[in-house]
Amino acid sequence: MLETKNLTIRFGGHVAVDHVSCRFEPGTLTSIVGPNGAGKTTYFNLISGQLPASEGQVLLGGEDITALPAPLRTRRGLGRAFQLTQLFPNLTVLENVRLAVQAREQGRANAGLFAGLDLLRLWLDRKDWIAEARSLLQQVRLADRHGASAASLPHGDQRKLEVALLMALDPMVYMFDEPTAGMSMDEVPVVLDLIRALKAKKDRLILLVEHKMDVVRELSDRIVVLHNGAMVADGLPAEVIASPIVQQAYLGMAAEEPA
Amino acid sequence: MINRLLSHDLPRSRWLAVLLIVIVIGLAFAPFLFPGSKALGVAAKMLVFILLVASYDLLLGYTGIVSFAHTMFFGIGAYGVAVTSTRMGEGWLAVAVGLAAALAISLLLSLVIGLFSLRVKAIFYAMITLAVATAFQTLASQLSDVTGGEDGLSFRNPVWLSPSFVPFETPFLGVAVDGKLLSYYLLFVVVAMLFLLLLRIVNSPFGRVLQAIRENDFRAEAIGYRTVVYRTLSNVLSALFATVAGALLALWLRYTGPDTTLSFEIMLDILLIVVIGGMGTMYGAVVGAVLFVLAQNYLQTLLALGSSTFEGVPLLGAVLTPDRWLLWLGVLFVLSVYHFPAGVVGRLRLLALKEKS
Amino acid sequence: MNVLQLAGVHTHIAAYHILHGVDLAVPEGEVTMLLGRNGAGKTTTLRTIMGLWAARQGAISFKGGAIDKLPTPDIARLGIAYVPESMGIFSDLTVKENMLLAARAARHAAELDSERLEWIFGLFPALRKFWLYPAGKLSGGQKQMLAVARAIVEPRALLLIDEPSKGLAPAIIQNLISAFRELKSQRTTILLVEQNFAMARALGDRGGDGQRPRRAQRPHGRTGGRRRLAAAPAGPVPGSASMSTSTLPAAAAPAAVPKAQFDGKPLLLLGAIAVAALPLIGSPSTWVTLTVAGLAMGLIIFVIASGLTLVFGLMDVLNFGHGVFIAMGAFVATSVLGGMAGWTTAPSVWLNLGAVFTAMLAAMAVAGALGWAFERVIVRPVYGQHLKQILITMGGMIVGEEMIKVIWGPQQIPLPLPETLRGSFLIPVFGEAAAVEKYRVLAVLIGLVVFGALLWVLNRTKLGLLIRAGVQDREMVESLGYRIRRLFVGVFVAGSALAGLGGVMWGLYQQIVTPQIGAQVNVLIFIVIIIGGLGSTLGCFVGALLVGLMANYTGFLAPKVALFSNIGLMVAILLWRPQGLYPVTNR
Repeated sequence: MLETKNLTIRFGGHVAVDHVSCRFEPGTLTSIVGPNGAGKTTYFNLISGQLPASEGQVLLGGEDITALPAPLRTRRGLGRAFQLTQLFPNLTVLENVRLAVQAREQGRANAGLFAGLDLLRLWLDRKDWIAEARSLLQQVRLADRHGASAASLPHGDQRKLEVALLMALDPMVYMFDEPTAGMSMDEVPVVLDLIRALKAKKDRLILLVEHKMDVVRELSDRIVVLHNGAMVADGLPAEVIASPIVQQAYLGMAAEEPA
Repeated sequence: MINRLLSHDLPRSRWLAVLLIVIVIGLAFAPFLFPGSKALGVAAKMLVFILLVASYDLLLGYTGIVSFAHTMFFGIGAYGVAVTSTRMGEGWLAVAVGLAAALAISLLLSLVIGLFSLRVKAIFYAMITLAVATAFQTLASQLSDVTGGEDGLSFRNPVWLSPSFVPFETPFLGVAVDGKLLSYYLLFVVVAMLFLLLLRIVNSPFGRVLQAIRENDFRAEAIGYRTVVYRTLSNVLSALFATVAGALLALWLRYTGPDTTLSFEIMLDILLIVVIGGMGTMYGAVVGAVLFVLAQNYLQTLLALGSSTFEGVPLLGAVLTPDRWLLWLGVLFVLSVYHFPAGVVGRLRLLALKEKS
Repeated sequence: MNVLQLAGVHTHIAAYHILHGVDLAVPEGEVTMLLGRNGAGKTTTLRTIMGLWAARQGAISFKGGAIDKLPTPDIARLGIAYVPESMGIFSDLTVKENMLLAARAARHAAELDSERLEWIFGLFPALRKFWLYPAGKLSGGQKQMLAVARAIVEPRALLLIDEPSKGLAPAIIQNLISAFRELKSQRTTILLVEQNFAMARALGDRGGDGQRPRRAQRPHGRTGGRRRLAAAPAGPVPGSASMSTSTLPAAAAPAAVPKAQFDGKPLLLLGAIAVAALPLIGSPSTWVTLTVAGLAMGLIIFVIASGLTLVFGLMDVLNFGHGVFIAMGAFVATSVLGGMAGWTTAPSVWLNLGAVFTAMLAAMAVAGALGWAFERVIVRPVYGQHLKQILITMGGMIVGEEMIKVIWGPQQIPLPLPETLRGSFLIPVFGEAAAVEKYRVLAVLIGLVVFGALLWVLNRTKLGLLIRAGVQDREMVESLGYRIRRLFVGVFVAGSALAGLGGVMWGLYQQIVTPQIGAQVNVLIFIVIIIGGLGSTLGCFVGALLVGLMANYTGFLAPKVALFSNIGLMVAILLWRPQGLYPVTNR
């Protein structure tokens, strides 16, 4: 269970996220929507720890993690994929994912400060980590590019790799930030299938920032709308999308291809 | 077997493998292949620099941290052994105590410097290490009653490492078996073991995380790694290995002074070797150090030749003298940074890949 | 008549092929809208027009002339104004300075067209109210207004505006719509990128007619005028228990714009150290001597370091070889003063000063020239790559120092002060006589003049404005029509010349010049700019004075500790302010 209480962040005089209180339950997929500049990614950054809150709290499984730095939140089960792809550019595609698997395993073995200080064994000896990384690459259809450097991938493949890194963490909470942005029409279903499979597990908490309304409508159990940093709507997809408040705030988005 | 020894980090290039084998054999049998004390001195210097630069590669090539304090740890190792040998009287005990103290000091200093990198940006950090190293150099010159000041410290080695120690009268394969020979092989064995240890460290899960941090430390944090811990540890390890290299140099020279270990020129040498050899490869340190030390010694001879040839010619004469070795070093440095970004090892591996495809 | 025409434009960013054969025609005097969802390529189109990203293929023509190969400043100068998505506001500059920068014809605020300014204030009243406040303190909506105001401060042939309504409250959006309507009525040509359909409906004459920025990978990526707007629902939907809504919040405006406050704490620190030293030293006369010595040393270091910090702040270039300019300056001075022995040995103050100033001018000229060569050969190829910069500039310094040894020889060269500048003034202080060296007084005067001149240029001239803006956002400065590359070279040369001047001053301070002078002072100036904050002139000033005072006080009180006083000071300040005393906000 993930909860934010009055979560706020100010940059100088500007309030980017304004006292957002929300509770998310495992087994649900909640979409966070809103116009550009509404504070969605900032809200995510506050939850996953890339930004420090000016006010308010973030609670994970009842535990107050507001003061925890990002890596420790990840170790407690918060997985984050980023809107701007964040990969290890000169390492291979396989290594990118394998590192995430390694991180997860080392984090589980020891949640404290000195986890993963494994200096004398060979990384190659952990064939299980390598095998799992390969299988994850297959799930995102990148297995044939495993030896290429992450930087050399075209943008759509990089987004898939970004998603694969999150999947490798196998967390309790998945935070997808515009996962399909910049992907071609044939690449999008790969990611959507993955998210559907996650939903099917029924025990994961999924948060999704998305602009594609059709995707949002199909996948979400719930939609939260942010506007100028504050939460202006929260409820079932059909209702939220049709509400006039949301239409007014979010005009351009609602006028997507009619279904 | 070789695979495990090299931690599965193979040369991945036929030419590189050949080069490395030649170097290893050359160094292993140097006293027999290249008789004469000058040649042995060159080989010993190569060994020391291999360890020194490999430890720097851990920090710069693998973790992506630019630091100018490496010579400081080199110096701490050398002075550690020198000071104890001078004060406690020479012998293995002095060496052990000196080394232990030096390692402790390096550990402490590198921890402090590493933790400081928490609060400051990378550029600041580089400048800070420069300032600290310079301060240390001045300190060594100033505390002359302890460090011998500008003159440095001359001392005697443990008996077995002394040149005057001659266990067997008859020469072995044409080479006199004396303390100098034993010293050389001490250096060889220690450097070989520590190099292989470094190779293991960079090929461990820890080493992989270092590379992740170098590539994108934001992402490394996001997947759950506290990068500060890793960067600090990288700092500490790098410093400790450099300290040992310093101790070895001191044992070889039986002398330590500010310019054998602490000078900025040496820091530049390290940078040049790691760039020419190839950053983030470890083998780059081996190839680079050997090439560099060879060039440094025999190029100076070449320059001396040049100076006598062009004596009297206004600019050329002044530029082609062994005194101006640094000038050519600088030019070489600049050219390699531009045109040789992957270094020798990187270039050879790239060629090998192209051949395969 | 089409003011702007794109034909078959392809743009790539790294491996990503974003624009696939975009065709677009923007007719004169109308508002053309480019609509579409995120990622469709709208911003890329604008940036390509502006030359910020190069079109790999295709033609872009403006008023009939091809502009696709032109550099950004030239495109701006043709009369195209660009308001980027991020607004491109220079936060540390005031609203007035932002506007002045955008008005290419005006050299200072008085030269702005007051009628036009009044009109702009009419459209955006907030700008008049906050005219002298730092733009960074404005609210999002006000910043957007400033961004648009900048684009219209002078008449322009074409306005490119990227998502102005992003993140703004409906009230402010209304404001913008009125402003655009008015611009429209004045027949200004506008190409507007928007996601907000309210704006589209209110303004659009046409929407990127029949032209859609397409991406081959997403054939469905439709944008452009043929969109149908979704009909708004007839009435409020009966709310169910599970849904909650609230009214739309206005974008929070700051309660009162805080005055631009001057951060005086570091100056207080400076004063505190000077004052604290007095009781420790004991004798007021000694204190005066030491303080003047400290100020002199500090100001000399400031002269040297100021160039380096500006270069880093503006060009993001780490010049680890700055020391070579110092050394060059010092050695040139030895030659010049050596050659002017007639003047330096004469008992006349004017001749002595004349010799010294000649040496300084010569040093600055040579160091500046060396700086120009250095930038061209060593630095330019490695813009943006910090590690390589560090390595290469160090290499450059080594080569430079060795060449100095070749020209002047490897040994030390004395640099004696001219006749009348030797010795000290005796100043009565509480009955005792404090010996204040004449040269040090001169150094302080020169240092203060340099500081004053730098401050004047930075704060009172347009050039300075350009530099300060460039430190924050290089790209925006180019988009406003200034060739920032030339500015870079100019600043680098000026920085090197200042280092040369500093070298002369340092050499005279020590009365001896060695080839290592560059490397020695290098470390000192790094400490100073770290303390001061990379890119801050005031920080550099305060940092240099701190270092100078500390060195002299500790040199007297505890000579053994003196070595570490600098490092200790640096560590202490970084613990207090990790970015230095006066951090500069970069974009």
